[in-house]
Amino acid sequence: MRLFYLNRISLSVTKILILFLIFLIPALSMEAAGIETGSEATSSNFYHDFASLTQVLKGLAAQKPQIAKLTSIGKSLQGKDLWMLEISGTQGKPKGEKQALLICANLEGDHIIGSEVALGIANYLIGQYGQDEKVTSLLDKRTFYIIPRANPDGAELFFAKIQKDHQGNLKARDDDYDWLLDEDGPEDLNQDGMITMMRVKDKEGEWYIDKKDPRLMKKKDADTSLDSLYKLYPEGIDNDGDELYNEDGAGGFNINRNFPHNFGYKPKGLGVYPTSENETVAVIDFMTKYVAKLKTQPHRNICGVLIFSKYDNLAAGTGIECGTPTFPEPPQAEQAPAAGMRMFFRMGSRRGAQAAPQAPPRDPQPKKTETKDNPIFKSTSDKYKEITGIKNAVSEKPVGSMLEWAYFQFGVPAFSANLWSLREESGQTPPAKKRAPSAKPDSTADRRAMFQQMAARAGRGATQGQGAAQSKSGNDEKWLKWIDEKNGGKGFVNWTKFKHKQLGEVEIGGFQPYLRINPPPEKIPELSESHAKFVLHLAAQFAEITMDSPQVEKLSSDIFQLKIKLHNSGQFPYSTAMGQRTRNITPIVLRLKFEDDDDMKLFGGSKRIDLSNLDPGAEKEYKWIIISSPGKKIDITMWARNGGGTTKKTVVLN
Amino acid sequence: MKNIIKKQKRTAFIIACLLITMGVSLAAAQDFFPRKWNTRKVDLSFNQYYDWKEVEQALRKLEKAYPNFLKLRTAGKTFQGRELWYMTINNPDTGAEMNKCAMYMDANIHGNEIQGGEIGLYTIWYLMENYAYNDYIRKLVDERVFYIFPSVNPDGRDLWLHTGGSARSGQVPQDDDNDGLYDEDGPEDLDGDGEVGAMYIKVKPGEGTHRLNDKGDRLVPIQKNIEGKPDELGDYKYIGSEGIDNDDDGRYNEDSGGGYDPNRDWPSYWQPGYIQRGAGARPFSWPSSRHIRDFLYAHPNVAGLQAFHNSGGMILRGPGAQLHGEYPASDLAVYDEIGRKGEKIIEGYRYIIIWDDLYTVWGGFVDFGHDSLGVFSFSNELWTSRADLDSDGNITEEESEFFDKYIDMDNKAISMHEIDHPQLGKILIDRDMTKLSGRVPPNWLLEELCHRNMAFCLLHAYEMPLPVIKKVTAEKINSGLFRLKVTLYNERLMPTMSAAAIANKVQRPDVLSVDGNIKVLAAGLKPTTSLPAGIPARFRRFFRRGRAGDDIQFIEQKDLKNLKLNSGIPSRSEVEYQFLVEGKGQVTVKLDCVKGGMHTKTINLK
Repeated sequence: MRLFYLNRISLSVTKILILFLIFLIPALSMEAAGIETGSEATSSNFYHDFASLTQVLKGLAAQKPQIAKLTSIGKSLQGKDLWMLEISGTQGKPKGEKQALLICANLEGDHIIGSEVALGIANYLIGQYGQDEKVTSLLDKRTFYIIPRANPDGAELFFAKIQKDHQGNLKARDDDYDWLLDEDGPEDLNQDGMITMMRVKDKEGEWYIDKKDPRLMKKKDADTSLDSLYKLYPEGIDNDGDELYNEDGAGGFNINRNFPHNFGYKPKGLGVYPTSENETVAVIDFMTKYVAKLKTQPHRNICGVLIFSKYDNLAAGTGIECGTPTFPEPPQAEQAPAAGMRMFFRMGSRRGAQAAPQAPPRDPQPKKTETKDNPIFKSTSDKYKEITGIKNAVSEKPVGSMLEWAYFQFGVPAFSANLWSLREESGQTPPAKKRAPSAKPDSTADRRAMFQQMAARAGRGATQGQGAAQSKSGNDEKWLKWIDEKNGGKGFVNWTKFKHKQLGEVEIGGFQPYLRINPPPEKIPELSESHAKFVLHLAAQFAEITMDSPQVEKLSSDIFQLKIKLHNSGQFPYSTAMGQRTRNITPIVLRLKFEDDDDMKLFGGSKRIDLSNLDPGAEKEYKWIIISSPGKKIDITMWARNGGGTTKKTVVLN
Repeated sequence: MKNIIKKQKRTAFIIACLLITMGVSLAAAQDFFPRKWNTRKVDLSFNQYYDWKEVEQALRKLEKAYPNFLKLRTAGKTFQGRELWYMTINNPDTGAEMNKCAMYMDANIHGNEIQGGEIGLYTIWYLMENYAYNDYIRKLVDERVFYIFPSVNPDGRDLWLHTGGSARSGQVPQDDDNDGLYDEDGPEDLDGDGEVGAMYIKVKPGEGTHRLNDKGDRLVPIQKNIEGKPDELGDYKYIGSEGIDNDDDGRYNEDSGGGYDPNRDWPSYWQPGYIQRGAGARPFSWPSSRHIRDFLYAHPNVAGLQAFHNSGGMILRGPGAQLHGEYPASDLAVYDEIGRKGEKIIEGYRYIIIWDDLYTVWGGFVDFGHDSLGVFSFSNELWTSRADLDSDGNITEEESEFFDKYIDMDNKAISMHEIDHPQLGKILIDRDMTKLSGRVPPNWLLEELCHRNMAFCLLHAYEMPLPVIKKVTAEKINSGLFRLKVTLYNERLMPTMSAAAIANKVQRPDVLSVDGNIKVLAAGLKPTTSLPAGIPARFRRFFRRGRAGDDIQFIEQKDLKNLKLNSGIPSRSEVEYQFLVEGKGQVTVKLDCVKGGMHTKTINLK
């Protein structure tokens, strides 16, 4: 009953042995005997907890240290390393100069499948380097930065004894604004190892049992009889006696809502702001921070970002369209007891009475993909569908996500795949748009309802979406159908009676946690392989800026013409339109250096040319006329940070 | 003689005991100190600017002279390794730091905007030197805590003072010129005058951008395209600001220290660099702002916040961007009263709103203070010209010239001079102003600027909340049942919780607890029966004096022994809470305010 499909592994002696068998022995024997290992041997079909994930990553880095390097880019709140695996072939330019693809997964604590696929990709790249021609040549031209688990604290709950959906990290949080942290979490009352839902007969309830399938709860409508109504709560008791059930469970801020683009500045309490979390900071700093020792920002060669998260812009539409964050509303009911009359007097004061501005304030952040960038997203999405066979997916619009930050602020093409959302298998329809809770509930009852809703929606303490489960979209029927037909009936805890010490007679049941976010582990190898192939495609698209041999033409005895042609032989433009707008993509810089500045003069023009973009297939020619005695040298340097690094050439004026 | 001293001691002891039992602070029992015309314990001058080393020395000198009140600490290190010194002013005899409201003052977040640092030093010095003699200062120091950061960007401060040039930024290297090198070509003070001037080189007539003026002592830009006049022929060409082309790219000083704006790094409505120039990759990109954040989160007792900038003579309040929406009325009341008094305290300054009257600032520090900390925050743009000689509100060119020549003794120009440039050979250095003119006051006006701005901060500090339990009474209902009445009083302008703190959920509510061998059956708030003090007498009769009698609003909270006062204690008001109590004996009433400290009173129920 307890584990319907998840072969979760935690690190015990036997399990280390298993890992050793899976990763190290093939690696060692392969090197020793030159045995070819296929990709199926390197993909695991179980989910890794943090210790085993660390072990695997270390194993991978040890397997081919010449191409793989494991570093920690920061620590989670609980001190777990945020691992980053850098993979780059031994040939070609230095790895910091090669165009890089960043793969980041598991920002949401419950999206473990992202971790596994990222790991599978790393595995594939490392395993196939030197074996597969395509992989080898690509790795010699590209660098991959893979952050498989950006939220290890949250992810670890997946492997806990009692499962409950949890998106955030584990920072203590005051969800219900009572200035107590995490004081009312859920309990596994029926001891089945899962937090599901409780339903209890209540005339004030909002749900009734579906006639066709008594497992399902439906939202009441006008003609539902009062006697058939139920209230739904997350499984557990009211630990703090506020008549709210599990409204403030173990902390957590969702890292994928914590990035500073389109951030929801809803009142969230002290210490919550864009990038307030360690994990968010670590990811952004990895991409942008100046490192004094190296005297540079070492990872500005990132040309594209691939994220595995609940958002999807590869199978579910293309481009990025931001969701709507909420903005602070002026406080209303919370007036100080004696301040009323004072305020009356202040109304007429100089500042307070200032006329309302005519034009409504505008949020200056862009919220939609630049039109000129659409082809990048469209072509990548088409290719994704073709390679992976995933034709559609379900995705909400992002708010404060890494996807938005990477494109709208870092300025590179950014993609996200959610990997698992039933799709064509059960024909899932996108969820109906959820409405934000009304801002100021005036009665206690409303307030309670709001927090209960919040608990259900946030999946914190409660069961993610399980309360919402019973939404009108009809997805639940489809999930049940999938459970019955494709998953051997496993995945739903049937409602059973339970004597609740506060609520009396209740029934406990509902969808199992994590079920609708992570596929059965048998799917991991298949998803890893198809996504590894997609990654090969994506990384091959990046702009490739090359400089033809410079042409020198003698116009007269001491007048020379120099011509240089630049090409973009990649499939993506050098900079997205967004990148040009953000000015975050360093332009292509072309510089001439004369051997003898006193003797050599430019006839107009400049020794340095900055080119902000070069479209795929485009070429650009530059011409200089130089007055110089013959035989002098010119050093030409082209630097394309996001297009292959530095190229140097020297010409002699003859 | 000995006898008399003994006698005095004894009386003092008795008085002290009496005062303690009366619950009056010991500070009231100050001795009389005669103050002479030259009484001065620490000799600091305020007609000069201090670099970071000198600031540190001055701070240490002050700390050494007043060890009981002053503690010099550091909030962390800047990128270049300087300590972010701050001085805590607290009188430990009147309570612990966290038990009092604190005034936070910082300055110089923009490296070139230095004079706020001197205000910090002056404030420490003034408060300490006057503590013994001045009742108002003594009251302030005894009631309040001050955290004074003379500079939150000492890297920029030193760069500006030692070299000059533009040092607005912090000093984390940036690649300003997109060549992959970071901060590789900053200006140099080649002639050693502490200024970055402009470099000009002699060229053939017609090839230049400048010419000598008629007197021959200044370079002026040539006039072109003026109808009826031939183009002037320039024989000097502008090269760039003073310095060497360190990276040999033909450009001078194109990638100097830093290149961002540390005051666009705060997370309230933060925007990226292409929307808000000067922002980093994320909020809190720079080490100094992270240290200040950590400091402020660790000091929730901070109830007033002041940041100093220059220039223009402004007392600025948020919001920094229109998108925030205007502040709620009860917060505005506080800002307006302090701001308008400030206009009178600091001559020539205007009290204005950042986005509306200055320009839009996303991610500024005072917005962080207001939105994320719930603290009343001002930012002053220091120094505005004093050359309005006829006081008509207008400074004409003549007035300005007169001021420069006859009052400031022509102090503001660097005279043109020739130097040997290692790359360019003989060049002229010229600049029509020094760094000590324009945005900072002439030295001889610095002390006045320090004093007036300190006075503004002291008003701000005075008006921070001062909650007390005014009285506790009990009314016997029957043998084991009492009506306990607790009157709380906040004498000052600021409520213990700002509307922003309440709305944004950034401050724990004040807690009123009753403790003892009792059970609280019900609790309620008595509607106010007195009108707030701010209402003018002629209007008072228009208001109902509140409902009379024992009519109370019940408070529905789970734990009635520890009431959460969700709106705090309002501005200059008295509020009465009542408890229906079952039990007997000693009852302790405790008021615990984040901004205003812990207060207790006991009563015996019998």
